[in-house]
Amino acid sequence: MKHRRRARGLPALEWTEDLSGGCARVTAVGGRSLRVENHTGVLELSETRVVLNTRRGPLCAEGRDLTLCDIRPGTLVIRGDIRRVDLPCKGGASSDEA
Amino acid sequence: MKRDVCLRVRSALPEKLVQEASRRGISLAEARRARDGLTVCLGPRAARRFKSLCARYELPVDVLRVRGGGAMLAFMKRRVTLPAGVAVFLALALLALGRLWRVDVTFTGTAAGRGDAALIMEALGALGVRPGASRNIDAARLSEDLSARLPGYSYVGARVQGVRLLVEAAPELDAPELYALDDARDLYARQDGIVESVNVQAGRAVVTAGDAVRRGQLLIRGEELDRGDATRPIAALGDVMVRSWVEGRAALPLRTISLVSTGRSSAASRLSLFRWSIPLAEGEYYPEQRVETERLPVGGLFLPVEILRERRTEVRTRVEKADEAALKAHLAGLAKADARIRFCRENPGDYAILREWLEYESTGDGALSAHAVLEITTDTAVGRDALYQGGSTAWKATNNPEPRA
Repeated sequence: MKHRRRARGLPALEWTEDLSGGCARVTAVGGRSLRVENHTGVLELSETRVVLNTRRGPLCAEGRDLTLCDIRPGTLVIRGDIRRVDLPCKGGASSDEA
Repeated sequence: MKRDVCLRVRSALPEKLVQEASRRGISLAEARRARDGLTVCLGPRAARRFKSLCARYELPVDVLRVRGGGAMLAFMKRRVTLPAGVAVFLALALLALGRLWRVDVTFTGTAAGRGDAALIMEALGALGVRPGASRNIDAARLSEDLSARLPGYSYVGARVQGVRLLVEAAPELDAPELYALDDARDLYARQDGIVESVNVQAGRAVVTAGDAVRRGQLLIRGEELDRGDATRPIAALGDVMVRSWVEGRAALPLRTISLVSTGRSSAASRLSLFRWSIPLAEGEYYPEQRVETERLPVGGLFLPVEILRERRTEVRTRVEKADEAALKAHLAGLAKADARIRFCRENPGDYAILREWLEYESTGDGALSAHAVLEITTDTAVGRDALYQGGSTAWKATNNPEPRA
């Protein structure tokens, strides 16, 4: 809460969080591949839905035939027919449809 | 990332398992949610660590697929005799491939039909070259040896193609027509006929168109005017075309005998190795039967064990009247062929067929006979030697001087 308050009060300091490497990075390649770095765990895994935990909240990917690939500590790739990605945000969940 | 091993883990919380594996540094190439757990693909080392992780949490693991070098090593460990078998196979293969398996003889050239393969095979056998002999053969030397042993061939070549030795030979052609102008001779008729035309190139014709000539009759006298009324002997040269007739006959039975299946059949089989055989199944024998034998190899290349399967079909003999039109057509061909053979046997020269006649008649013994008559035209003038030797035009002019008639 203290961190959230400080960020809300000083938006210019948000880049320090990115530099420190704690912020989740999501790279989408078309609708077939989604690379997620700096996640903190797998919350849900099914063929239609993958939910990953990040420091800012859960990251959700929905679609068909979803598979986790190249799973390394803090990094993985979601492959499949990705239809929807819900990115974590401070105030609440925001959605981005692929 | 390697994915040589695929595992299926039965777990109620596969997400936790993935999380724990990731936390312990186990890299997973692929993770997919299965119906009763999780399916993961990963490298061999990671697979060992993942299995120990599952064993720690008492999660059952099934190996779905293993491939790559580790799988090959495990396969070789399970089959310790395989390397020895492969080594024996390679040794036998090398031994077999170092030998000749086949020796083939082909003939080339315009006189290829005169080639005698048995004679060449006999010569090869005398030189020690036969199937089973070493493949290391000096082909050029073998070609020279064969040329020396086979006098009737203008070319003999040998080459090794894998495990096959191919010998190509060209039978020699007849010597061209040569004659000495100074050797006097006459030309005679080699067969009976009616003279169609006379073309004298040297000498003096003693027959004209329309004359009937008999075999051995003088056609062109080998002489020319010298001084005054005197003549001097020369070698006669020229063509005398005659019209002649040759006959041929053929006969075939009017009834044909065919074997008709009764529908009953039986099968028998036996295991065979060289001369030994063990019966596997005894079939039924019939008084009249048709037997079809099938060979089924069992041992492969190195052990000629095979199963001989006999299928016996009961048949009965049926006598039918032959199709007369088809029989006549067949007989016509046979009779004409017989006429040509008769003519060529006595007169090896070229000829042209002008007309032909065919007659059919039934013989008393239930056969149909065909009588073919061919009207031909041919050059009948040959030297005396050729007349004695059968009338070949190659002997029409010869180097050997012959006495004047």
